[in-house]
Amino acid sequence: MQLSQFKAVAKPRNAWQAIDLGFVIAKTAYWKLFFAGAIPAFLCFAFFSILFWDIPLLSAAITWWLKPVWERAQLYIISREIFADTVSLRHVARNYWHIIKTDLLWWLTLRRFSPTRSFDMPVTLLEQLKGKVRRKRLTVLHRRLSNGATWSLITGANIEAFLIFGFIAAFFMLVPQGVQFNWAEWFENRSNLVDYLYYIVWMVAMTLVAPFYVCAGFSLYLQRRIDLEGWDIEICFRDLVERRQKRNARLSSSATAITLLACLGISAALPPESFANTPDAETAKTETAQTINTDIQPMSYEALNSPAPTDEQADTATTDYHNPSVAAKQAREDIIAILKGEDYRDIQLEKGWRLKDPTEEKSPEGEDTIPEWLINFADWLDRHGSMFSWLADFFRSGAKLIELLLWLAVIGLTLFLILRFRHLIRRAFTMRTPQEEVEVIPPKVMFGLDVTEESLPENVLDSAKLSWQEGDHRQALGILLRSSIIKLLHEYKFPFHEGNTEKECAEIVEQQGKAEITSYFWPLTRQWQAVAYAHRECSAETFIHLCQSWEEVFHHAQ
Amino acid sequence: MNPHPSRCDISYSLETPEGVDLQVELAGPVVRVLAFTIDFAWRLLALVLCLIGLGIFGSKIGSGIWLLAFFLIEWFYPVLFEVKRHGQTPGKKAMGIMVVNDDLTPVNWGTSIIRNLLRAADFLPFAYLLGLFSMAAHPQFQRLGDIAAGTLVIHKTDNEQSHSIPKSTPVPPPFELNEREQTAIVEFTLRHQTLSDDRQQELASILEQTMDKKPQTILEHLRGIGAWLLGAR
Repeated sequence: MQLSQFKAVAKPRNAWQAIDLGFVIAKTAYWKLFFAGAIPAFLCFAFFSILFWDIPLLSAAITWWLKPVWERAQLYIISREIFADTVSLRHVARNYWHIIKTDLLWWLTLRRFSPTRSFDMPVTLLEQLKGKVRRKRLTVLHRRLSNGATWSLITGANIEAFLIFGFIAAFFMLVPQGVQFNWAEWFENRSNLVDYLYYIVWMVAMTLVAPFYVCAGFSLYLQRRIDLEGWDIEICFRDLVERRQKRNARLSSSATAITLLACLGISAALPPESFANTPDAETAKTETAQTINTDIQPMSYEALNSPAPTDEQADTATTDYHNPSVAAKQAREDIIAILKGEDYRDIQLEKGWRLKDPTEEKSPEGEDTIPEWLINFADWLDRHGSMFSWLADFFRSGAKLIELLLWLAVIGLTLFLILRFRHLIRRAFTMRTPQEEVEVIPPKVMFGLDVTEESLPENVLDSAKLSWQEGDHRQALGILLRSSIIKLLHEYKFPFHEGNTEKECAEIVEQQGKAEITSYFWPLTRQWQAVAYAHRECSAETFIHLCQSWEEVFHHAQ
Repeated sequence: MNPHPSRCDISYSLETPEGVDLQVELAGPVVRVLAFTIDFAWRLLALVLCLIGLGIFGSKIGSGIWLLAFFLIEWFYPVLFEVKRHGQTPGKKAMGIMVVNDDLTPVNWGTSIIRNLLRAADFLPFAYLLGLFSMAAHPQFQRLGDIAAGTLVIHKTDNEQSHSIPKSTPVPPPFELNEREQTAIVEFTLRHQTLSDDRQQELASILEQTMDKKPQTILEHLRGIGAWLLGAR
């Protein structure tokens, strides 16, 4: 087994995809597989038919029972074909017994009804496992995809039945119209021949489906091995190694080529002995010996020991290959040559019918004019107007009707637009006068505080200060907050809800209220939260400051 | 991408005008037959329910309406689902396949109606014989209706189970890897629980010389590259 020869693409797949791949695999050698299964099956059918001619069902049933045998040969072929190893039918025929013998009795008795037959068969045929080892191997393989094998069996069996129906239907479709067909008689007095005809159709359907079924199971088995052994990974890794080796070989060869080329260039312009110190000198010398011009002096032993070339000399020597400006010039010329080439001068001629552009259909003056006949008609109408007065009236009334319809359309459209964008309009409206929008019934209780208008003390600041002096700081701040909220609710019409918390109220104030209210309400809220919930102390200064601010903010309302 | 076009595969590749390579896995006869069976069962159920429900209208009107319902369900059940449910009828959804146009755009009314009306042709001579032959023989598993409408049935692949990445210090690859090689190393890293330890060592040793590592360290090194390619730093 050479993975590099593997003829399918190895990659992770689910069961259904593996089955589909099996169909593709089957198609690569379909007729070979078909004949490998069909020839022995039909031979067997014929043999038993002759033996027991009176019982047609028996030969068909035996052939059906021996399905695992026919499938063995097909599996043998495809398992070699998939690794690019061609197997001839003759080879299969010669080794037939060898192919089918492993565990044959088991396969024809207990395992004949295994729903995962096509999935398990490779373990017997290709891995040649028996008994306990086989069972162990199967438990590993069955962890995935064996479900797919069952479903492919069920589907395959049904497709077989469909094919039988299809063939019979096709046969009756082809019966000429004039022929009278007496169904009842046909069924009652049918001879063995008719039965055999039916069973042959069955055999054909069976052998047609078999290659696909075998390959689907084999593909599932392959997929399982791909998963377990990482075939896809191995193939990729080997390709990677190959790619790197090729690249390295190319690099090293091109590296030597470049040095060689450079040496050649230098040695062509200079006496070759100047490179005597480099290891490539020997090759360079022998190479240049053939191409060297006659006017270059033959080398002498003394010259071999002369110093390396100066920078200037090296420059002139390598001009052709390494000077960037020359290279760029060359590249530009190449590019222009390519752009002038055939690939970029591809002119295509297309012929066909096209729709004309109606805007081109204008009068010679180049403007839309009323057609001649219409003017004539209008003239004619005008001249014979009295005769057609009733017609004119009708048209006039028609015009009125159309006008009315148009107006209705305009009104309808306007209404529709208003209705369609009512939210936008309402929002724009409320932006300007937020208070008019609010028609919410003000809540009576908020976070446990009574916020009805009646509960507002007559002199808010006095009662708050009184509470403060009595030491009830919570109560004092509560009065301030409560009164603020009552004022905001009933005089400023803020849309507080019963469920709002203090913080949410403050945020609503910030969004909609004036800056001065916000700048008062936020600190008050925080102070209240600190005292009421965190049980922190509030300093007297803060309280006095809050009282003063309260008066400033809500003074005009008092 | 399929690096060897001659090799067996069920994938279908398409390059968009923008130069993007799209690749899908085509769905073959078995999964499609099963999907059809599920749909058939649903249709049958709907028709039986209609029959029971329409009993109240009396035999004549009832059977008339039932025949109308039969016509609509038989012909437009797949069309409606394919267009409105991303190319998937309930059966296709259950089997994880979907219908798309052959340029991999979603099916529209036109293509879906054509491919479903031509079921009549696929059905001939009986029991979808032509459809089965066409599907088995066509390189893209298309039945006649698919060929006429220019549609494909493909596997709708979800990213399967989420793999865990083995613990390793991320290492950048020592040289540039192409897309296929990157995928292989990532797969190698992600499948560390499915592949046996010996097999992993064996696989890793293929790259021993190329990566210039010792047998003891190459496995760890490859996992590091895999982690790096998966985005760990």
